[in-house]
This record gives sequence, structure tokens and C-alpha cells, in this order.
Amino acid sequence: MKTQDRINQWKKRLRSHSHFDDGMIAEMETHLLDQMEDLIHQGMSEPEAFEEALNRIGDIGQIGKQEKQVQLRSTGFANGLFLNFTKTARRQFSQNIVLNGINMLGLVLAFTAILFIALNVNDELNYEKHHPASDEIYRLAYTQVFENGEKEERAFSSGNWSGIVTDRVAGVSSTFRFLNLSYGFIENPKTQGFFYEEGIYWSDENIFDFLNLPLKHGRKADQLNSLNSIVLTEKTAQKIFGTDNPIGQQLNYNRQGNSVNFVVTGVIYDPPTNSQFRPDYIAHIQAAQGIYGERNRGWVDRNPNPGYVFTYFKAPNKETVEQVESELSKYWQEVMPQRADRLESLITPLTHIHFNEPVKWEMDNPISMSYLYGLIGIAAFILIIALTNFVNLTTAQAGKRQKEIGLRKTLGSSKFQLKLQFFLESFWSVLLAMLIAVALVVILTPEFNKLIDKRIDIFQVLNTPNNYIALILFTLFISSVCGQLPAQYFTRKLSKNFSINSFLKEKREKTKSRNMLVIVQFAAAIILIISTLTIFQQLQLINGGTLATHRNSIIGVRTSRMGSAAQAQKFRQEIETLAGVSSSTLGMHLPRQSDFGRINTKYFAPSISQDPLYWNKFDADGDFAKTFDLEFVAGRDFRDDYELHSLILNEQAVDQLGLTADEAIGLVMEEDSINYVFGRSNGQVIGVVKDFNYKSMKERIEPLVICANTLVEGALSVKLETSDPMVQISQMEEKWKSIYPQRPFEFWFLDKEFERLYQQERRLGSLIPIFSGLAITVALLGLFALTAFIVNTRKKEIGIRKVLGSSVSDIFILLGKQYFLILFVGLMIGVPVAFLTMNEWLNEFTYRVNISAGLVLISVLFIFTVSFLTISIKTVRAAKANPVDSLKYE
Amino acid sequence: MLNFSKSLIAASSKPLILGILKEGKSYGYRIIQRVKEISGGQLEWSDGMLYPVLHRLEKEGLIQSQWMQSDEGRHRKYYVITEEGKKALLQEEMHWNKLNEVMENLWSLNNNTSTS
Repeated sequence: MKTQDRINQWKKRLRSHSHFDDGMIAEMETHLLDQMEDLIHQGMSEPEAFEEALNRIGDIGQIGKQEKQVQLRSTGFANGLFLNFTKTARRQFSQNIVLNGINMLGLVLAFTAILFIALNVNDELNYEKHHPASDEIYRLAYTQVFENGEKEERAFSSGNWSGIVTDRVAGVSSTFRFLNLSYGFIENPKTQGFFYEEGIYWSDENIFDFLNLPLKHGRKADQLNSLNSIVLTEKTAQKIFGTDNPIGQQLNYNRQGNSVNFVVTGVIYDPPTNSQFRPDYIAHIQAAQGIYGERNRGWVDRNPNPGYVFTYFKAPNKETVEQVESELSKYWQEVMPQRADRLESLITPLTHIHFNEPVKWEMDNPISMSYLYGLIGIAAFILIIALTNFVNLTTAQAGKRQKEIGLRKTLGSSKFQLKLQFFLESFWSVLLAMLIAVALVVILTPEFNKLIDKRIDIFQVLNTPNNYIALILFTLFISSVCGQLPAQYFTRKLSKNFSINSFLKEKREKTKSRNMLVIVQFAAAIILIISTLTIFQQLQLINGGTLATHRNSIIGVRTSRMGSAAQAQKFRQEIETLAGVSSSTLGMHLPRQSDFGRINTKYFAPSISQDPLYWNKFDADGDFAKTFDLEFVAGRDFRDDYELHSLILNEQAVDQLGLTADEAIGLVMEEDSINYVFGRSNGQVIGVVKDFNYKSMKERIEPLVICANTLVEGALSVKLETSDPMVQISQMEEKWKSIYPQRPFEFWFLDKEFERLYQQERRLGSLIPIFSGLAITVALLGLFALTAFIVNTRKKEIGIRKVLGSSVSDIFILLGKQYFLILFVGLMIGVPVAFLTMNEWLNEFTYRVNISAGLVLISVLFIFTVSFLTISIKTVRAAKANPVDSLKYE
Repeated sequence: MLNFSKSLIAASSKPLILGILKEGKSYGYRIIQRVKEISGGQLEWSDGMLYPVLHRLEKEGLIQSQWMQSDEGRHRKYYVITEEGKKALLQEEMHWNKLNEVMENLWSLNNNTSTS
């Protein structure tokens, strides 16, 4: 190898080190040549002289390190470079205000979306984490094993298990229980106001040590210091006492004729929404004894059978938890050997409950992790799209900035300084966008809370120092990503051995990488669109079904526990005389939710088999099928006189019997239920209805028996045929007062029930369209700005082409074709990814839609159309422009 | 040739460079040669390390640089000392003389005690 080549190689090595700028390399080269000249003069050969000179110059790495320190020293605020870069950044921004404005808008939208997603995910992940030592708290519950081997996990325990656990397991430091009697009436004796309440926690007094429920009014020591103490939440206090000071006020509790008198001793702040503990009232657990009368006194503490008591305990480790399990099963064997085999303990860490599969009588809807992953995925997509925009638009302006960068280099800027400059430029943009986004988030959080039905406290989030650190790190990270790529582009471009070949090569590479970025954008956009449409379709499906058809015209009125069945029947008869009421039925609460208790009943079909059938059963009166529009496939509805012992089955039940619908008519079924109001009874099938989802769509439709029963008093469902239901509702309320003078009139639209049933899907359904809309907007903004820019730089070319005879469509194809190719590749990547992820999500549902070719086609067409329009705006104008305008000044 | 410690070389580089430039404008290679001459070949730097020092002094405003064509036609970066550099050199001179004095005293004291 020639010496000159070796020198070039050496220079190349220097150049690879970011702190050797061109000036320094040139300086060292002259040094090397001077040295070599002297050495040759002294009698060395050229290669020998080169080796020796290199040797004397020393270790390049060390020199680079020293030089870096010199450069770092010069980049402080003091020497004004920082300010200079900042000024340049500002000028740079205002020079191309449209392009940079779009760029900034994209960043703001993306950051806002990402911050909202982060808020939401953070809220979910911190579920129950606000309690002291929340990681050590476990819930003690049980699994019921049925005769047929099936299991049902339940959130309850017995009130006496906590005592057993503390006595027998040394590691358990404390326990806490509360009883939920599901309902009761609260009366304010001063105003005689009556309230139907379900959120009363009859609790051990250490609830305030276990749970983080800060007091707003009252002293901690007073909270549950007597059996007459009651603590209210802010919201409840407001509801019952208005603006009066609630402390020291009296309240009466009433349930099935038994009552307890309370004095308000405290008011707590409304508990956060990311906790299952959301009581409205807290009273002493022993006070609940008063409701059960003398005969049952002490059952909460003594009865080993599981009842409506929630139990929690603190354990330092897994071994203690295992010990609790084994001690409990020993205890069951001791006191109730006949039942012990049917019980398994179910111990769950408090902080896991929210993410586990739901168990029966769970206090809050658990969430599936796929929901959170989905949101995080969307945030990642939005970030990718926004960053892609930023990098694309910054490097697209490269041409315009070459002079400035060249000048800086001539005046002695090092590569490092150029990198710093780009970092600062992007840093200011990112910081500004971030500040605007934070402001938007603060302003919009109340709306966001409404949308997702939560109470995220933005000011508490703002008060957490860690969040600022996260925000700053995020901003720095994004700025360096945004600054790094353009800086590399420029510093490479302006390296010293600049030749037309390397320029072209680099240009090709740049276009390639920019295309890659746009491909990623389109892939992300198509994934979001397909996901949004699929989620919409699935929501439509679960919102559909027989029950849901009338969601807006059926009103539920609570009659259960308000009075006798006869009162309920009387109310129903009066309601039916009202104009606008088409039919009504007294029956089960529909759609059926898991927290309404078991509807599982054991049936026999003696003429077919002696095997028991575990079926669901509804008691309902005659107009049940009519009100809910159930469709008969065989037989008939109950007659008006509500024949007792008549049964209507669904198709699933008939299938299980191995009969056709027609064959099932007349079949005698035997019900095995000791609690049944008529005792063990026979019934005869008179009709078969089509399957309908009487529970959540996530659950399979199980065999169902609808049993005629005039004595049922669960809820009255009223079907209205009117445009203004409020008229009927106020008439119904009048009737109610005449029949139930001491009871509150409570009604709801069926719609509300569906909202509760599919809370998670609804949240997803309301968030995803917004976020994917934002992401797509950001992508299109970027595409628009990029086309605008490219069209602008190719103005002269377009002019020349037109002069040479190109038509408008030729020009459009010339400019547009590369985008459509890119778009196509993006779609090829995005469609399969979207298909796989959405399929995975849909698998959670028993009744699910399929991702149809039509849906994919619509999404693809949508993307094509909007991209086409976006590109057209600029290209068509450029193609139509008079070439003279673009060519004349030269 | 004496083997000076790194820190000593680093500390002495500033007065050496400023002193050499006080004689007139010079460039990197020439400065190295001059150091060798003055030290009688006793003081030898790793040549490349000179440049970061030169750049630092330039940043500090003690010297200035300019690319110029030399008589034999080669482009070289020449350095000259500034007024501020001259002041700094005076101060360095004072410090080093003082240090030298202190050292002299110390050595003579040592020698006296060892001979007595």
C-alpha cells in the first residue's frame, strides 16, 4: 500500500472519532507530514518514517478524549454558544412556519395522547397501592366445589375465619373484616329523607389502619369508637345533609323491620376510583348484630360457614400465606367435616385482585392486562408516528440548511458542537410541545375522567416529584432521538472528503431511510384503523342481542326488598293502566350480573334420565317474554292467568336434553330446590324461546328455565312506547308513593345496566377511536408537510418537465407514485399485525365478531383515500402551476 | 532522557507553549521541536497531545490561530500569543520561579541535614 493511502486511512480513523473535526485532522496531517519529512531527511525510508511519525503522535483515543474535554469546556452557557444555538433554533422555526408549525402540532397532539394514556395506565397499575403496606395485604376468600365437581370462586369468607387465622398462624399480624349486607334504608330524622343504600361497610374498627381513607372532618380516635358511630364519605354527607355540618348528626338505618340508630362521627374524602374499597358509609361490624335479632346474635364472629363477610389479613411472606391455607382447612375439618371437602381457601394478594379473573361477588370489575397492553401499544404507535414526522421534516429541510452548517464548519464548529446544536434545536421544540401538552392535559383531565368514568386527580399527579423526573427524562430522550438523526445526517454530509459520488450515495440512503420511516407510519396507522373498527364492531355485537334492542325503552324499577310481593303486583297492575306503557314484568334483574347471586338450580327430567341438570332459573310473571321480546321457536308464552308450574326453556336447555323444541313441549321437569317458595316441585314445559344473552356476552349462554311465578318481586321492568319517557316516569313515581309511602322510588334505564356490564369495553371503545384518530391525524399532517416540502424543492424540475410536455397527470404520478409504493408496503406489514392482535383480543369473548375482508378493505381504502387527498392538495397545485413562475428568475 | 510524570508535563505545558509563542508565531510541529531543543532532548511529549492543549489555550483566549501558507507551500495552522497570554505567561513565570525557590530551599535543607 502506498504511503499516501495509509495516510488517508489514518485520517479516516481520526474522522470516525466525533471529536476530531476537519480542522484538527488537517492540522495533525501537516504535523505528520512535517515529521515524516524530517525523518526521511535523517535517512529513513518513507514507510519507516510514516510508522515512526505515527508512533510519536501517540494514541488517537487519548488525544480525542483530551480534545473532547476542551470542547465540553467551551459549551457552557458562558461563552454564548448555547444562546446562539437557541437563537438559531428560533429563527429556524420561524423561517418555515407552516412546516414547523405542523411538526409542532403533531408533537403536541402525540404528547397529549401519550400523557393521557400514561395517566390512565398509571391509575390502573396503582390500583390499591395507596394503602399502607399494600403488598402485604391478602384477601381471604373461598372456592365452592359443587356436587358435579364444578368450582366457583367467591370473594366472601366467614366472619370467624379471621379469628382462627390470627390465633393459629403466628405470622399473621392483623386482620380486618367488613360485612356487606347489600342494602338498607338510611333515614335522616331531621328532614325525614329516605335513601336506599348499598354501600354500607359494617367494619372492624381497624379499617382506618388497613386502608388509606383519610378523614376530612372528625378525629381519628372517634371514628368507630362506639356501636352507634358512623362515618360518611364527602359525597354521601353532601347528599344527606347538604351544606350542614354532618358531625354529631343522627341517622337511622332500617332493614326488614330492624333498625340501628347512628351518630355521625367522621367524614372521609371520597375514595379514589382505583380501589375496590369505595364505601359510602362505614359502621361498626358489631352494630350489624342488631339487625339479626337476638336469635342470631354473635353469628358474625361464631359461624364458620362462609357468609357475606370480606376478610383481609397482613402476612409478611408466602410461607405465612400457605400456613393460613393449611390451618383453615384443618379448622374446617374440625368444625364442619361434612362441608370441609366442598371448601377451598382462595387467598389473593390485594394488589392482584384487580388484574385476576373475576370471582363471584367481586366488588369491582377486574381489568384484563390486554386492555393496558393495548393502550401502551397505541401510545407507542403514536410516539413512533410523531417522531417519524419530526425526523422526516427536519432532514427534509437539509438542503436549505447546508449553507448555514457549512458556514459554521468553516468558522470552526466541531462535529460535537453541530450535534449539540441539533440536540438543542429539537430540545426546544420537544420541550415547548411537552409544555403545551401538559397544559392541555391539565385542562382536559375533567373531560377525560368523564369519558372513562374515573376520578384521576391531576393535581396529585402533578404533586409527585417522580412524575417530573419521568417527564424530563422522556423529553430529553425524545430530543436526543429527534436531534441525533438529523445531526448525523449533516455531519456526515459535510465531512471533508466530500465527493459527488458519496453525495449521491448518501442521498439514496437518506431517501431509503426516510421511506422506511414513512412505511412504519403507515403500518402503525393501518393497525390503529383496523383495531378501531374491530373494537367498534365487537361493541356493537355485545351491545346488541335481544335484551339490548330495547335498552332505551325498558325501565327497571327496584321492587326487591321494598315491600311484599303483593305490593309489587299491585304496583305493576297500576303501572299497566298508564298510557304509554306497553307491557311490564316482575322478574329477575336483567341483564344478569355475577354480583346478583346464584341462579343455578338443580333440575331433573325423570322421563329422560336420572342425572341432575345444573341449569339457570328465572322466576318471572307472565309478561316476561313479551316485555323482553323473546322469540318462541315452539309452544307458547304463559297465559294471562300465569299458570303455576309452567316452564319456558331456551334452546340450550332443549339441546342438552337431546330433544327438538317441539318434542320438549309437555315434558315434565322436577326442580330440586329446598328454598323454592313452593318447595320441591314439578313443572311442565309449555314453550321454547330462542337463546338470548341474559348475562354478559363474555359468558356462554347456558341452559335456562323461566318459571311462572306471581310471587316474585325482584325488579319491575316496564316497556314504554313513548317519545318522552319522563312523563311516564313521573306518573310511575306518583303510583309508587301511594303503594310504598316510606320507600324511595328507584329506576334506571336498561341502558345503564349494559354500561356496568361492559365497563372495560366501553372505556376501550371510547378511548381507542380518539387516540387512533389523533395518531392518524398526526401521520397525515406529517405526510402533508413532507409532500409540501418535496413539491417545493422540485418546483423547477416540475417546471422543466411541463415545458418539455408533461401533463398534469404525468406530474402527479411522478410525485405520487413513490408514496403509494411506500403506502402499499406499510399496509402489507400493518394488516397482518392488526389481524393477529385483534384476533387475540376477540378471543376473550364467547360471542365475537370476525375480522372480515370487508373491514380490512374499508380500512385500506380509507388510508388510501386520505393519503391521496393529502398528497393531492400540494402536488396537483404544483402540477397545474404555470412553469414560467417557477423558472423565470433564473 | 528523564521520565517526567504525566501531571508534571501537563502542568508545565502551558508556560512552555506560551513561552515558545512569545518568541514569535509558530505551529504545532515546530513547537514540539522547540520544546526538545530547549530541554536538550530531556522533555519529550506524545506529539498529538499538544493539540488539545493548544485548543484549550485558544479557547481561554491566551493564543490565537490562523491557517497560513508557509514558504515551502504547505498549509499550516499558526498560533500567536495574545496580550492576555503574555500576562498569563508572566504569572506562570512568577509561580514557577517561586516554586523553584521553594524547592531549592527544600533540597539545600535536606542536603545540609544529610551531610551534618
